[in-house]
Amino acid sequence: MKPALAFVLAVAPQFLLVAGLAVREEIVRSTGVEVRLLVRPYDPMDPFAGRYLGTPLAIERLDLATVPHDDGLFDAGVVWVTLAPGPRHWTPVAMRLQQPTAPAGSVALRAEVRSRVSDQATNVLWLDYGLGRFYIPQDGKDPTTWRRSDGQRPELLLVARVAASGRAAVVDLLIDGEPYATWNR
Amino acid sequence: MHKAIADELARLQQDGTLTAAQRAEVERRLALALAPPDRRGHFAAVVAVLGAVLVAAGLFYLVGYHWDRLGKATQLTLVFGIWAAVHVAGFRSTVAPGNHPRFGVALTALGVLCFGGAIGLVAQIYHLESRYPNAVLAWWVVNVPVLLWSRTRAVQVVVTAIFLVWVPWHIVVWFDELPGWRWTWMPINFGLLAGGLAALFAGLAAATAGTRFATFRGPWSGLAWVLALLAPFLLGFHELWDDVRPGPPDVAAAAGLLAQVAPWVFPAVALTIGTIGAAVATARGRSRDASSFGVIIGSAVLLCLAAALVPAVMPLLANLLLLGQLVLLAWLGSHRDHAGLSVLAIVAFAIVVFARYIEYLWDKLAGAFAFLGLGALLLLLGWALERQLQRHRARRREVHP
Repeated sequence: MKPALAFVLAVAPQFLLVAGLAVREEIVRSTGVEVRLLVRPYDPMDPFAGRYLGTPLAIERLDLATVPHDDGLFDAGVVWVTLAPGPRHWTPVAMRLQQPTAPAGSVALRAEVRSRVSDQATNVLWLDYGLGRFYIPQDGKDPTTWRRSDGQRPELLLVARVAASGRAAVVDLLIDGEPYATWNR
Repeated sequence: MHKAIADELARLQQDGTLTAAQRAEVERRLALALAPPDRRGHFAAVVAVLGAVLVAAGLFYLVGYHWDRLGKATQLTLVFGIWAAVHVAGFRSTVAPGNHPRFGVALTALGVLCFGGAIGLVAQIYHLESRYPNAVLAWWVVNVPVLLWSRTRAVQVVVTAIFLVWVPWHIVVWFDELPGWRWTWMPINFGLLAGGLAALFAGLAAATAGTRFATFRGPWSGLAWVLALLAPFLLGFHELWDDVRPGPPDVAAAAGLLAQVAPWVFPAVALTIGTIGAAVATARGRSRDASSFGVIIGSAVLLCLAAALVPAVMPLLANLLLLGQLVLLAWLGSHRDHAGLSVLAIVAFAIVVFARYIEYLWDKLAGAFAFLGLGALLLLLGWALERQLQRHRARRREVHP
């Protein structure tokens, strides 16, 4: 094998992998349905990844008593959460074991079950949608410590796009309805 | 060439032991074997690789800064452009035309590191996250072809280091999700994992010896020994096994443990690869490699089986195994005139003594007796070995006065 060809074959998978990641996210962003999800934020630092806001979603912990669901769902590894638009953000209306055909105007979001909390009163699932991070610039303002003029915390909504496959991609973070980049100016 | 050797060769030719052609060939081979090491070249390579690591650190800082004043397309273009340019420059410097091979290797190592930066940047742009460190997994796995292509130690060290970051990271996340796990599971499994990885690297080192990848043998062999010592060291703490009741081997319980503890997958896979590597080395007739690496692999197997079947005796077994490995390592160091192995044995012995002192010999009187006894024993052993060496030399002088 020629050295140049061997070199290209050795290096090409790296470029393909990174490019594939970007292309996959672009496809979800361009074809998915936009949803807005309520966030309860905190602010960790990751020395390897740069500064980001953790974005634990309000729909991350779901009490099965409050959402219609399939039998046997409490022991499942992967579930499908159907979301419907509310006045300010989207809320869960059903949880299924298999990917459902979402009614018009709603989406089905894929989630992995991280843990289960069960007692006499509740059966709560802690779900992971893969939407837990929003990267902000090193010198960007932190909405989690910021307060309005009335001393109240701002409302944080994570904007994501959900593809037909159930995969979701983060698009933006709204602080009191304002996109982060605009709010940060 | 050394004058004494040259004179001896001349005499051998004069008395007819060597022909002129044979003498010339011996001189050529000795010249090659006795050539001084390329210290300046090594120094240049080390400086260049350190530079590559610093440049990579700078790029990671830039990525971490998340310079959002640059648009997404600009960021992607910059990262792909710089990354591709680094790899191409590395290829041109090492292969075609290949004018600066050491500098080129440093650039290839930089390209390997840039791959991680590129993954991080794309994750940042698209706000990606992963519970398990899959980005680090991709980082080392997809760099393996570059490692095989470059066949250089600089790239080997970088890829191996990324691998060694990924393994414990993955396991810690896995542990975090285990329901009702006990704290002792973590060090026990890391101990077993160290044994498994030791077997893996011993197998890889054995498999590469004598092949076109022989340059990988040294670092992987050294790493195998470090991990082989780490395994019984971790598993030798009695506190880990305090809640285990002595009794006959419980195969059913061992099978249950195997089914529940996922990190066992790593030692199992590593042991398999290690064993295959040792078998390949044996088949090629390099018994020296195979025997020492066989000890590492056998130790890992013994530790895994004992932990599952007779956990109550693990502290004793692990400490005995560790002492045996230290003695073997010291013997290999002196037998093969390999200072690194001897130093490793001495440093490891000091760490073991300190750790066991904290664990077992906190009571001063017991500690004093133990150290006095063991120290006297080792002094006696040293005296006996030196005496034997002197007799051996005396016999040689009698044969070759």
